[in-house]
Amino acid sequence: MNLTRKLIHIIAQHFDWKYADADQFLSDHFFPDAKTWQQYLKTFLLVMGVGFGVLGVVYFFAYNWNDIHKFAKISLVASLILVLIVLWFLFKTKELISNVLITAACVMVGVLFAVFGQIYQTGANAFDFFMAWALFTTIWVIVTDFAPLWLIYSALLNATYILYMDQVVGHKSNLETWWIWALLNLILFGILKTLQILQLLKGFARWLEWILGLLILTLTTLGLCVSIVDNREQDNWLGFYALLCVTVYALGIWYGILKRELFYLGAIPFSILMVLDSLVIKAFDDHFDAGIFLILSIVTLAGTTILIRTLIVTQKKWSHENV
Amino acid sequence: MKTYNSLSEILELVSPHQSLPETTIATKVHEDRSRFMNITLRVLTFLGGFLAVLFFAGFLALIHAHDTEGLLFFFAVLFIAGTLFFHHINANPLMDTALVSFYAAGFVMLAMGLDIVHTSDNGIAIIGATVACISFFVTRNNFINLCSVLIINAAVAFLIIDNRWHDVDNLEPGQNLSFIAMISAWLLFLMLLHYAISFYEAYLLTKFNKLGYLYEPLRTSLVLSIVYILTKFRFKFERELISENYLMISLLAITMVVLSQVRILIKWKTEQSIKKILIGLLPVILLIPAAYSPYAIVAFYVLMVSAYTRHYTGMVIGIVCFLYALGQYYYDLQFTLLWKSISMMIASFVFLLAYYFLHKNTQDA
Repeated sequence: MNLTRKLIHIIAQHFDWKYADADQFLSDHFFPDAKTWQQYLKTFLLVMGVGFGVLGVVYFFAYNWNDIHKFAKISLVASLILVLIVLWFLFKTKELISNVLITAACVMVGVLFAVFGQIYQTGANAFDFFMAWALFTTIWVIVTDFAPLWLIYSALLNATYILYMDQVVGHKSNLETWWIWALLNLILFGILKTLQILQLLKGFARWLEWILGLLILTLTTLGLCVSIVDNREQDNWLGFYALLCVTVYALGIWYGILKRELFYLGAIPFSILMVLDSLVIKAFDDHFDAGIFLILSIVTLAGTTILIRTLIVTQKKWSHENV
Repeated sequence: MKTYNSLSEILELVSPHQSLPETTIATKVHEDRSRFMNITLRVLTFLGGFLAVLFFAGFLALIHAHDTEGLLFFFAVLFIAGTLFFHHINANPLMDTALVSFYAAGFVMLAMGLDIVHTSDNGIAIIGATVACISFFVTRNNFINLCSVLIINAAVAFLIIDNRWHDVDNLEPGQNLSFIAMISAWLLFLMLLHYAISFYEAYLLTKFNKLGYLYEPLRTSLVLSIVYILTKFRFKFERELISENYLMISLLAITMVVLSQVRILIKWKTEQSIKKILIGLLPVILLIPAAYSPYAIVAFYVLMVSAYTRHYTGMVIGIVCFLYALGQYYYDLQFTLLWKSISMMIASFVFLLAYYFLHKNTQDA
């Protein structure tokens, strides 16, 4: 049984506890002890130290000091990457230090390409900059299997895609842009989840899963809502998009029930509720007045209440089964 | 989180000499687990409530509700008082979304009604804060209490920041000092309350047992309120991220960090005094260079206290604020990127040195 704060508060309601005893109990059994606190502090100092160092280097090269020869600039960054990799090998047995070092090295790869871009004027936000950054750090990300690094890697892939659609294809606000964006993230999510299930990956942390899951849901919801409200029935991609959304929703609900994850069982129906709101707006398009807002308010309120009721009942059922 | 074999083991730790009603406690725990609103449910409650209120506000605007103050006041009273009364007779978590929506909508209509009858902005803020204050003490609903604290804080922030000081760039030195002093006083109050809630939780478990329900809504709402005040203050001085205007607030924040560290350290009876002092002073020394940037120091305070009290929402808010403060530093035009780069590298060296000494010290122990 976990000693949670809620449990302590319940015990306090049924016991005439003295303040000194309660305070001592919290310090001894609930709050972190000296050793744990020192570990937190060490983690904080290490992350801050390496993080500030990396930021210092980024700001230095962002200054774009003309007095430094271009060869010297590139050599400096490349040397820093080399130093970080050597340190990574030296501290390989210490997991936290090695993970932080390799994360710093991955950021330095971005700085290297940015310096290259500065010298040869390839543009500050070119999609190929992010693409090269992601490509050249792929092996380190896979080998390290560190959740924050996977997050940075996902951000790079997303930045690459959106800039490609903007700079090369030329239209980033079309429906197919969002459809492909959601599909790419779904593929990434699927690959990481499959590897995790096969126990080939440990770095796909729960919080990372939620962030990616939320991104996919946001894109699918936005895409559906916009296509409904903007009269996109004639759009060829709408059928594919609707199919993708149904697949995402079905997979998410199935996974949520399988793993007893309230996150999926809550977020997906809420997304469907947003789409329902869009349908209401569409249905009353020709008579758009104050009444629609009142209907939307009632629909949202009722929908959320029913959703929460269902989730609480599900939670209760799972709780009984666990007992 | 520590794990034990059974509830009996935990109760034995709480009271070795006196037996506790284990069956009653176990039943209460079981009931609570089935009603427990985890983070997903809480976020859904807020999102749903927020959207519903937004749509309702749109409805009010389109029916020109601002022309009928009587109707607005009637519905404002009905919604606010009705919410409190309904929760009093039927405290069901299923109704939280609706309650939060009606409660917030009530305040929206109250503000609109007061505006129609030409109440000043100050008056609206004071009346809103008063109603929220009364609601706070009357109800035991977590969400309503959280909303009430946020409303009170927003009202005070308006009175201090938005109210009279429209042209902060051209204030006289004396006026500037008064302005900063008022912000600091309110911030001090919020931070002291947060400090008390976090480190003197045992009072809520014992002497003020009946106020135990305030713990959850207060700790989140106080963190959000502190961040809100600082953000609003920061945007008032938008040209200057780093300025002597912030010094009073920074000193206040550093004082709170010191108090928190002292409170944490006095609990460690087995550690040597010198080691305790060194560990305690370490974050303080590292924060002194950020004296002109209170946002970063307050973010650190929130992060540290939330980490100690296992308040994960507070930790996330602290991390986000810290990253925001760092990001804003990049855009500050008072210093060149070269100077910022050098200051970052010096900070990095100091942090890594501190890590090395702490690591060596703990290894030697």
